[in-house]
Amino acid sequence: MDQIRLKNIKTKISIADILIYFVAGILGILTVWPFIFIFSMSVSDPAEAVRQSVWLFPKGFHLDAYIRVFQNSFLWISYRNTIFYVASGTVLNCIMSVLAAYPLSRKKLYGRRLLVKFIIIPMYFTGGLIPFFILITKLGLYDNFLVMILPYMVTIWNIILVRTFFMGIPEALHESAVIDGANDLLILSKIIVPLSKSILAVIALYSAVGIWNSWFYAMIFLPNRNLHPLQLFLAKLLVFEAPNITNANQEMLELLRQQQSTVLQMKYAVIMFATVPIMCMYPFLQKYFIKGTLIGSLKE
Amino acid sequence: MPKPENGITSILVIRNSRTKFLCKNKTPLQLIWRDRYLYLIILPVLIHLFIFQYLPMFGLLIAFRDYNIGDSLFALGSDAKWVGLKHFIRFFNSIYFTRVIKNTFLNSGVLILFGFWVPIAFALLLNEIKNKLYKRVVQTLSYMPYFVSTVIVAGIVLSFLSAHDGIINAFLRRLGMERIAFMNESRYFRPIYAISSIWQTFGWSAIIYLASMSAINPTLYEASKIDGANRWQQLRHITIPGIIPTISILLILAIGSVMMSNTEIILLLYNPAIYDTADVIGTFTYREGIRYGKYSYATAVGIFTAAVNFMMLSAANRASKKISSHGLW
Repeated sequence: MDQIRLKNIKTKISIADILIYFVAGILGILTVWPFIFIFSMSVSDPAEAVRQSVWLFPKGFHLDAYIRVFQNSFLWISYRNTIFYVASGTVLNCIMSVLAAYPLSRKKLYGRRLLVKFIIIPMYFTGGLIPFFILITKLGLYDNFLVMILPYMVTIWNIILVRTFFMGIPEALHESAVIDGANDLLILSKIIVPLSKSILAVIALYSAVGIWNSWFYAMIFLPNRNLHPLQLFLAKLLVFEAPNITNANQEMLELLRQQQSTVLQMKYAVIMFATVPIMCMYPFLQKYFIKGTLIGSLKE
Repeated sequence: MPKPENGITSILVIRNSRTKFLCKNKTPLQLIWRDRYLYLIILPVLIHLFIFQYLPMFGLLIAFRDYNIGDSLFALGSDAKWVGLKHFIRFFNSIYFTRVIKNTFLNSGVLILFGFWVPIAFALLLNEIKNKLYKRVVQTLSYMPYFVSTVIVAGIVLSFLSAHDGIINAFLRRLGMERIAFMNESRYFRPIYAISSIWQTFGWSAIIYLASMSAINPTLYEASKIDGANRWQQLRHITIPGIIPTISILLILAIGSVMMSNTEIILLLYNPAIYDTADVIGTFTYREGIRYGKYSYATAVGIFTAAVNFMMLSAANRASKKISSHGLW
């Protein structure tokens, strides 16, 4: 009887509902279409690409553009550089964030308010680009790979996130550890850190994505192409059109000149190369990002 | 080994401490000693912040000097070549002053005017979708552009709008129209900048609004349904008022960052042909300071920017407090 009753309750679908679903769907497709288009163009038949008849789906399947692109050694060098910068930067950032957040989360800390002010002020007031540039140069970090790691070891936003998390850990845990004779170092390393895996995952992701996508400071401080991160390599290829970004020899340049059409395909292939890893990972990681954003914004 | 009674007493002492957690018989020095490990733990971060955040703040002083790269950053005496407000005055009198200020305000203003409400509308739209799977899929697709770098976004925009092999021009030609050199004509820059920024951020910004919406008390909706409210009335009287605090804060922050107007993406999208619409304070500072080496001048511009920025932030905060009694501080 109950089953029959449930089946008879029809959910009314109004015109407004249809409209809403339609508009939302359109927005979703529009947002994603550029990526689909780029993918299709990058694997299509060069002749079709020239005629610009590719709109949504690939016409033909040619990996030619990718093969050419993969022959560029600077692509791989930059990729390796970025992986190194991301790995070291993320680990260091997590460590520094925890080191700062833990003392600030202890209410009993003498001088706590002063320390919090010291940490927060640079978030609102900064020296700006030029003094930073001069400082880096004076420190001898110009054209040095360390410039991609050292300045980013401390992110105030991450410190706030971790501190909020630490402040949520029950005080009783601390008290019992203190009674058992532990000092702060032990408490931090043996109790707090093992409990913090979730928040560390959040800030590790923030750091990783931020460093992965960064290029501006590399552009200013790293003239050496062997130290470029991936995004800077892309910037020089896609945007600044630096003439000798490839280590192509004369023969390849001739090939390129003859087949102008596939230069665009190569650009799209490079975009795909840089974007697909993130595309594959972010749906699974989005819940961490959202969590971090919400904690951070609620704190504000 | 303390006797059990003593142990219980000490716990009671901890629990009965005042908020400052100061035991009555400890001097500041003793407190510092008690917390010595905590200070040790935080020390590396303090040093780092001092070097990379506070020293540059001190370096702002070069705006009042004639600084060359060989000079010492910290010189304070007469060998520091103090020139007072010379660089500020030079900037105010420069022919680029009006152009740069105007562009900064217009570019950010257009972005706020058209882009601020897109995430809100999108969040409201998503909120109305009952099928959870559909909602999640659309949402996931919507913030895909947020995770790619500005370089990729710029690369996409530039190649799509390219005059000879861009897809947009191909589309125009299909319609029988002439090709347009989008990136060479000033009047297209602002829309291009606005659209690409909105595309990149609207899905992500919607998250905050959706979170606010989910914090609205559901009994409000139930009560309104009993009173016969339809979906639009619910939207107007429950949902939107429910997210007004969030909107206020984010609007203040948006206005407060008008002067910053996302230098990175503009740097990637602009070229000398369209400087008269595209050049903003951030890109101007970059060019004058890093490329041309006019350090003092560019720093003066930066200080001016930060000052105006702060004034706008305060004004926006005050206005918001008056209108909706919500503010940032």
